[in-house]
Amino acid sequence: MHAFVFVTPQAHQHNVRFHVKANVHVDDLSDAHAAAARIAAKAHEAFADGVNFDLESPLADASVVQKYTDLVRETASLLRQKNAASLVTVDVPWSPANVDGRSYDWAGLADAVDYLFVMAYDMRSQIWDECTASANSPPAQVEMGLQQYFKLGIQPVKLVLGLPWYAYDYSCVEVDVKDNFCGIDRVPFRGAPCSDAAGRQRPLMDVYTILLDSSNATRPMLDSLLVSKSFFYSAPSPPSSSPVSHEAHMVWFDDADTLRTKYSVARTLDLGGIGMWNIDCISYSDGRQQPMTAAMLEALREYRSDLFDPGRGVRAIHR
Amino acid sequence: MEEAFQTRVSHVVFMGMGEPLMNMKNVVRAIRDLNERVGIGERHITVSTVGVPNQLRRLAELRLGAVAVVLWLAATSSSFEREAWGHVLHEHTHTVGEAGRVRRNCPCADARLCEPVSSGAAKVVYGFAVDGSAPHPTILDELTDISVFNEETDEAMCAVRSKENHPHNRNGPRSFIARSACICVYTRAHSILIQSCTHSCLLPRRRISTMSASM
Repeated sequence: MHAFVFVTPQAHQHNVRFHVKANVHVDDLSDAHAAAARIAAKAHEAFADGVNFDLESPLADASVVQKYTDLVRETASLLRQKNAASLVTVDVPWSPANVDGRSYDWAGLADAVDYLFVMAYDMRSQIWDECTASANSPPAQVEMGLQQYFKLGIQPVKLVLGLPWYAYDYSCVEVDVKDNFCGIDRVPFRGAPCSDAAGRQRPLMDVYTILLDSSNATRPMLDSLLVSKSFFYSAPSPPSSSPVSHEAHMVWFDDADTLRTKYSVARTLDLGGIGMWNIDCISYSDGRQQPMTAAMLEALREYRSDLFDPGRGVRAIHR
Repeated sequence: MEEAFQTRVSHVVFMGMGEPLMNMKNVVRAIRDLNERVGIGERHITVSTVGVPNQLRRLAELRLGAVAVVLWLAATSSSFEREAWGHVLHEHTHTVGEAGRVRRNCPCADARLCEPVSSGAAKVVYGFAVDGSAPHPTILDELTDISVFNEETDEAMCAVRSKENHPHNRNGPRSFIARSACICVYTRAHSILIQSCTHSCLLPRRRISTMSASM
């Protein structure tokens, strides 16, 4: 038998934390203790640095609301027993004011975890006035929601501003391009007569594909009040809706320009950070979209470079 | 070893020295010494064993922190034997696993990629991914955190922790690669080349066959 030893250099890990989702359903709250153990075990098996909770259902009463907070708190405690640096986040709506019927214990959740990820999008999930296509994430409304969280005693550093990297593509039942008007189907949602469910969520890369390929797309216009962009295009109607052969669509989207303004809200209010749903919405391989993708990444870099301590932050690691 | 190779030893695997569980007293003493005197974390110590039921139970009962046990099931084992080992392993996992000590092996090419990350970032840039595959390295450059909304997370996890090794990024920045060492011992038994490493720093197959021919 022969034996020898040799040494080879290895690449060091780099500093992006990796998280898994908690997969919580309302039914799990009947035994929060068991659910916490299951989630902690899942994170451990996945070699994750943390867990993200994304319950988005209305909860029946105060006792169920309390159970959700207990579940989150217990999971965080189990994870921190194994790794004190575990990072736990909970996704919350753009405002704590009963959005889509969600009235959770926001302050209790904020206390239990590292960050609340504020989903500052789908802000037309409940349309109470005119059924029209409009912006997904207008910053004035975003800021109003954030202020409501502050009023509950939640520290700004506990909030991560989550922004959309996707668009809403609405089919217009009534259209006036000059007036930037697109009336949409009445699709009710949790009590509201209309909702953005009338539209289709599309990744930003689809928007650029339409703009690059469609011969009839209008030039994207910036709505300076809503800090969002929109354009019209027409596409063949679904087969069921004949005899109409084409229908008008209005697309509302965010790009590097509008997101840059929204990232600066997080900076101004000194929030705990920014985030996005989701990173797979932009194209990393399509050469035609390379300038748009580069601009999206540059906007993130600008946010970071203004904030991170060069001595110990990500700049020091990645640059 | 650290003196000989001028580099820090971070992981230890007990293997290639005869069945460690048949030398329990000394192995346990060595584990404690490595942990307490040399400063190698229990999570970085692995005992590779063919599986000796009573000894495995004893090791579990000693509750040596996070020491992992790798059980080798010989391909030639009968189904009866495999079933018997299954019971023992289950018992061991149950005993030690209560404290979350035993889990599957790291699925990444380099086992250190499964270790927790401490970001050091003052603020977060938190990205969700819906695709469980490896995220593109250019986006990883801009994030502090990534949350994968997919039940298949291994590929993403290994890539997230190992940007420099990413296939998209072969020409990427190398300046932050730590020159830590991976120590492998190669032994030849019959016609099989056995590779034992301090962690999973496996060589490309071609290189191993070249070595095998020269041994």
